[in-house]
Amino acid sequence: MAEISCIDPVNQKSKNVEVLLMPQKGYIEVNYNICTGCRLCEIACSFAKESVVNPAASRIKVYQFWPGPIDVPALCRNCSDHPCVAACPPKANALSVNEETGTVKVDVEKCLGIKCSACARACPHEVAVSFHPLTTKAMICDLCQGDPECVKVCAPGCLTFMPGSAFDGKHYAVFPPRVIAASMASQFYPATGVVSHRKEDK
Amino acid sequence: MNGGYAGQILYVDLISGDTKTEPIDQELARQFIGGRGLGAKMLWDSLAPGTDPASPDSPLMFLTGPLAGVVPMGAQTCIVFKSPKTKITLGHPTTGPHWGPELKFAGYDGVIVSGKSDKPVYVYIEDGNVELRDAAHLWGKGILETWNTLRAELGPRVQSMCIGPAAENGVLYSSIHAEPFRSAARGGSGYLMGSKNLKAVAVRGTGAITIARQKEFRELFSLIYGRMSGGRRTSRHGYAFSRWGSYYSGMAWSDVSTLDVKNFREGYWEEMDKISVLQFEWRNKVKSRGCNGCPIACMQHGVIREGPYAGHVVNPDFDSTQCIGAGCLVTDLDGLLYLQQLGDDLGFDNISLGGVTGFAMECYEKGILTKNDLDGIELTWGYVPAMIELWKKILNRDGIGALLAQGVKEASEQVGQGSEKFAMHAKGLEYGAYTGQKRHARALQYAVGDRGGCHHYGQTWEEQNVRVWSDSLLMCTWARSYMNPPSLYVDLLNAVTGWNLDPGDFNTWAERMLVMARSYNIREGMNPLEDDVLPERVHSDAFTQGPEAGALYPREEFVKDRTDFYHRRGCDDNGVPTEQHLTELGLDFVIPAIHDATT
Repeated sequence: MAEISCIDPVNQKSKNVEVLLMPQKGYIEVNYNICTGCRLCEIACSFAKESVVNPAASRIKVYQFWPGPIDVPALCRNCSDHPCVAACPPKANALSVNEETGTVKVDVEKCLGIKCSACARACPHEVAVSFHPLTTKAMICDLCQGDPECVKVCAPGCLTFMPGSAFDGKHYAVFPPRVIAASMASQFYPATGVVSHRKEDK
Repeated sequence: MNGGYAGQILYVDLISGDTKTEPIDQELARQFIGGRGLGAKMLWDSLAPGTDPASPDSPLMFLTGPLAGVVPMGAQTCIVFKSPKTKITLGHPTTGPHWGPELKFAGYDGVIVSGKSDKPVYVYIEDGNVELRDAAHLWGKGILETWNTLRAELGPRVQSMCIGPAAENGVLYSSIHAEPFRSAARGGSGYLMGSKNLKAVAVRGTGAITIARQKEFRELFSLIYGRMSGGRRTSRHGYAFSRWGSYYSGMAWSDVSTLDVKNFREGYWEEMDKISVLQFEWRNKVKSRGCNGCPIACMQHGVIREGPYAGHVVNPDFDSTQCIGAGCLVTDLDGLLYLQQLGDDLGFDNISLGGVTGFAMECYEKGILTKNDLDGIELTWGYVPAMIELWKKILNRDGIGALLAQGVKEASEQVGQGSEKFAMHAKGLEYGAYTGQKRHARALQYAVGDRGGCHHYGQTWEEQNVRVWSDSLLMCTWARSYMNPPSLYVDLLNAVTGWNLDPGDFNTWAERMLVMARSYNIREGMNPLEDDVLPERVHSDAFTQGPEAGALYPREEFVKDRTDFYHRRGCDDNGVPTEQHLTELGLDFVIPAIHDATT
């Protein structure tokens, strides 16, 4: 059971409703074309996970590129072969796969943190694994047990939760954000160069 | 601080290079909230009366507020300073999209820069570390290039406030940009920053903002978010802004004879369709973008696809683009978009730049400025290449450009010959893209606004109160359509900070902040009866075209409306706040200074 808040249509006040969430496979579909770069997903994610507003501790991050402007949301794409889990050093063994939901679970007690970074280096999306600004432990999207907060606050509809399925392809969205941005920029804008962002994001 | 505020303010002294932090005063924050409200009070305290606004002592205050970065549409930064443009008022332009929240995540509610560096520098704030760095390699570069260079140097999630070549060259109406196309421009903010040899303030923050009452906050958050995201499809404001951005207002205001057409001569323009938002959407639009936490996303980016200006990325807004477009009768949409992009990248305040260009065009038409005066520029209405040439002159303050770089007030005083009549400014600040012959409330806000002739002050008493709250909490003022009743602002503030302000006091707080700003202006030499005025055109040049032909704003009616406004704001017939009203609001400390200034 989980509590979600919704707005009572009669008196316009918000109220909490208990809903049953089934553990299930799923993924968040990202339509890169319509992200407005508002980063409300970062606010909602950090508030749900950390009870404070701190985009640096959000599991989803929006990268912005100029020339452009192009905004690329980056989060765990649930690769079915989980290269991050395979890369986690055996002495730490902090990452595991939740077989019911298909998401990667981080054991923060065991995680060696940003100084190890093996999972981040193995990530084909480059930025799906980020590190907590205070504890420096790895953070990976867990789809909020099937009720993702980021999707709820995505007004343009860039993020959609697709329950009940997962990509079987080995590496969905294997490209890092700057490559996605470059391909979009070539379609949208005549600009050719995209500023590289790959400096360790803290 | 329980929540909302980061808790401290950063002071940067450019002369010595020293930086220090001071905790934000809780009591002061309760009285003046933040941003525009708090800024006026801090400026009152910190800057000696009558100081030259462009002197090194004059501080440049980048302020955020308790709701910046944590609520939907809470994206703004308010820059407060004594305006070099008007010389007698505050300047408090606001801007998005991500700089203010980033500053709060770095742990500061504001950055106050004072002094003057002897060489170009920029400030880099990375959480607790603050550095002054050499900006020689950035000096002279446009906004986009500066912004991109800083990102490449400092990291992908750095946000920077920067100035362009216009500010460096000392154009009085230059702007500070938080991103290409997003500027806090009005009142000469960029000029002040340029005079300090400060090219940019770059920020990266990884800290957290706490929320005092989480359950209450969650409920208010989902209520407001629900209204906004639903508004994208169901409300006129939400739909138009998420699809077209504020640029859609051009057509709408032309239809009701309120648009600046031909240097504010007309309110309606039959050729408006040529540069309308539907043309923009069809020919140029690429995608919408939003400021921090904004479900509406009103920035409409596009690209010029053909013609001599092909290849430029553009983002037209209403006031800034229509002052250049309809205000100068530009009918070539691609040319207009290029002009808007050019003015923006050079770091001009596009509203003032459009006003100045329109003024110069009218002078040229009337023979007050000749082709000789303009160094051979054929400045006919709507001729884009001539406008580009003129802007180059203004940018370099070359020839006639040196005069026009001061704004329409100084230019009309210099050229004379009756040009004062159509020099459209109040207190030296050029108008936004609304003309006042028909909409008298629009004209009145230009006259009485606390930073000069600006569209941002609010037309009605209620709107003014909501706007000052927005600018102090640092939510976008467009959030007001979704914040009904306005006491929701107080509820949200209480939930975030853990305070218990009475939502019924909403208007008292607004009144305090507005009267504080008015008192500041009076102390700095504003004489309300002489300075709260409109140019002659609004009173005597009746519209000749459109459905409202013949409309104007008679002087007697204006004086009566102004007196009504004074009384409603607790001022006497002369526009000076009464001692009784100041005492009621807890502003006793301004009484001696007001008394000195008005006797």
